[in-house]
Amino acid sequence: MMHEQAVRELTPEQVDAVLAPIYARGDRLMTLFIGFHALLALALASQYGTLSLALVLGGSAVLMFNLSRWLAPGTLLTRCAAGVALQMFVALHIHQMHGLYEMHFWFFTASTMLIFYQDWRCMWPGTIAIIAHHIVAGHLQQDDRLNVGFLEEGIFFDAYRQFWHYGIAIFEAGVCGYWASQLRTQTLRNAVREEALRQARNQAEDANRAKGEFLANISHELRTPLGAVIGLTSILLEDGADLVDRRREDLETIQRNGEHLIAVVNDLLDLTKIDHGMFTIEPMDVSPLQLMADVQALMRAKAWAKGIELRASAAGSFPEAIRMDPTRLRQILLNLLGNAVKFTEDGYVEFKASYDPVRRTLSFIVADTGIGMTPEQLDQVFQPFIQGDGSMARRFGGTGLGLAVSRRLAELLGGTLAVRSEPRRGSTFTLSLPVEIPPGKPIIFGVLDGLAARDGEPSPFVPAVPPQRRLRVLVAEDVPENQRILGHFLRPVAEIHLANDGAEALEALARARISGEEFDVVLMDMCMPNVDGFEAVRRMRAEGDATPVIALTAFAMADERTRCLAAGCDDYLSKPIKSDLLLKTVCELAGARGGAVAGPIGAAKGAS
Amino acid sequence: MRITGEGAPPRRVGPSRLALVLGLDGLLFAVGACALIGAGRDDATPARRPDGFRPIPLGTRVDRAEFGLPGPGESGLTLLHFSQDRCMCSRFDEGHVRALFLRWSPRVRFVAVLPIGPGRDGRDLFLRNHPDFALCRDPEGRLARAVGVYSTPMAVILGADGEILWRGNYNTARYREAPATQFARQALEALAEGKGGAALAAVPAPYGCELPAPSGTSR
Repeated sequence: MMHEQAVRELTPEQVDAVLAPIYARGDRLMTLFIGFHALLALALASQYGTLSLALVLGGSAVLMFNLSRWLAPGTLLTRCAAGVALQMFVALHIHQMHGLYEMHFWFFTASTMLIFYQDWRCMWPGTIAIIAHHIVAGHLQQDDRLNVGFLEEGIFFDAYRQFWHYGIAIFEAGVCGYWASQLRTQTLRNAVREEALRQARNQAEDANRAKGEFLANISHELRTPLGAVIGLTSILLEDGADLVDRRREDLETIQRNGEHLIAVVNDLLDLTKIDHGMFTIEPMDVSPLQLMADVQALMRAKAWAKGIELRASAAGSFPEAIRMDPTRLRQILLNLLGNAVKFTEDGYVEFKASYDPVRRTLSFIVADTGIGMTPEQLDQVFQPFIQGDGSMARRFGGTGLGLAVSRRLAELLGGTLAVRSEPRRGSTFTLSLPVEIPPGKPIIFGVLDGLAARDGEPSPFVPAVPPQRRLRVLVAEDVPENQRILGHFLRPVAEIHLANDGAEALEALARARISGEEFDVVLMDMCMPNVDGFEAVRRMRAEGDATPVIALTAFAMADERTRCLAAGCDDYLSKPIKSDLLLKTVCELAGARGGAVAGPIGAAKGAS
Repeated sequence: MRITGEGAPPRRVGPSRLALVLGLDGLLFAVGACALIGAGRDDATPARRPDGFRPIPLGTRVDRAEFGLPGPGESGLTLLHFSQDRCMCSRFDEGHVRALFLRWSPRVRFVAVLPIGPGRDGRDLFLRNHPDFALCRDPEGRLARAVGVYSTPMAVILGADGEILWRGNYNTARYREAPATQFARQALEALAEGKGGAALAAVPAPYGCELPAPSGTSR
């Protein structure tokens, strides 16, 4: 009923706007219908010798409607002209068939067609014209001097026939007009409803957008202190060789919970970004086997610590490289393997890959011998915030977001993520991705097998070959805790210089240029007071300073990396910063300038 | 509520243009109405009498042998039905003529008088639709002139000796079939009962297509 009130309150302009497409559609249909009548009139004329009348009367009707449609489209006048034109054809056909009663049925089709306009008013001019024609021609017929043949003698003034003849015509126009009016009301009601729905949807989208922005902001606020907590905990653990066991356990608990919190924030952020369409895929050439080996290596320590065997195998042929977003693929695989290890108490986790060259589909299978899932749990396994039941969350931890994020990521990559599971027998997740093979990259035979045999926990990254000299790194960061963490991470290879904001960083860079002791790398926090990282990098590049810049940011929005690179940064790291990734990135950029060389773990150990 | 509808907003049409369209529409409607009333007037207009037409009075005797006419029906009457294949008015009256035939034959001999020569029988619609009618070919209109007929459809009723008893239209005008003015039927009924003269209905001027008719016209 709320909509009824809204319909009554519509202005004439709004009514016209809603009905304009209806009128346009009606005009198109009338053009066809009148065209049909014109053809019929010509056909009848060829049979019954009424060509001249068909041309004059039919031509007048066609011209009347089309002139109106051309000069006054969408107006009541055009709709009325359509009604009159149709009735002119009715009269023509009746005349052509010498008054055949059945020809009068065209009157009803004309009225019915006019319903398409959803305007009761256009029913009447044609009906009145037909009645007027009967009256005028009937009177003319009575005048012997005019000698007009129209009706059988004696019929016209028969009140009984008159009643039925005109009565039915008026009744027909009334009924069709009523139906047209009902349709019009329904159309307006629908328009009001759609508008109300549109407004509600916009409000919901605004609220959702606000929620997304809030989540993004709050994640930044959470990640920054969490980064400090985790980083400082790492420092304490590394520096505190003399810690008593109780204190070491406490610190490890802090570190573990901090990392869990970061994982939760990251999952929440990913889910939010995907749901808001803010997630971008950045495909690049990547070796599927190498990526698989990396993922397996990352998970090996976790499985090893839990006493579970991690079997990895990739049999058959594989492309040497595929176009894929390695970060997202790695994220999915790490999540699947992490879950498999988490929910498996004993037995093994199997990690297999295969490639279908016909469908060009790469499949990864993660199977475990863990607790498995019931059919009810399977139905909800990809729903966010749902994790088996309450006891599962308490027992295994986690938010239940990982699989939801993984499936959405799989869909973003154009693939699927499916699962089979049986309670107490384990689960099998299958990730299938359509892949594009870069030109010139051959299909090779898969050889990844038995990597799990290399037991042992992987070590953090250190440079393969010690730098020829200690690197000079400028850290532009406003949070003292982060300055301390970054300094700690870089201390083995670099001499650290600190700047509290972008302006100080620019001054330090200028002094370094003057003194001839330029920095090898700048670590630039992009969110700083006074001059932020973006502005600082832009000014650097504008001044011709080519020092490599690594952007550091706790914002993990979709376009953050793009924004940083567009501002002139050379690389991008998301907080909280991982020490090995930081070292690797710094060494690589410095190495590109001739400073340091990065390498794998084993080589580093051997060299040191 | 902000309702804008789908697509482009409707174009505003000014009052002067509306008045122009209204005037044009009215003009076209008037043209069409005049054409329709004119067509009605044409339908009611009698056929044009040919120049030099010589009226033949009732009672004039027709030599059956001269025109190849068959003998009369059981009642001594013969109905000559003048028709033209491509005359719409003739074709309109076919149903009525057929009804008369079914009612009166063989008491009355029905003869179709068609302005066709030999060799066109297969293409003549009347012959195809009414093969049980006797046929009299009158391509040059000799019989028509002999009985005073200059248009179709027309009916002439001959007596046993070939005298013209009645001549007239099937109804008042083209495309009419009102029972009260089915003149040929009324004449047959009167003559069959032995009535004549004043009992025969007065017949308005002949309507329909002139003989010979221009192709495809009813005028």
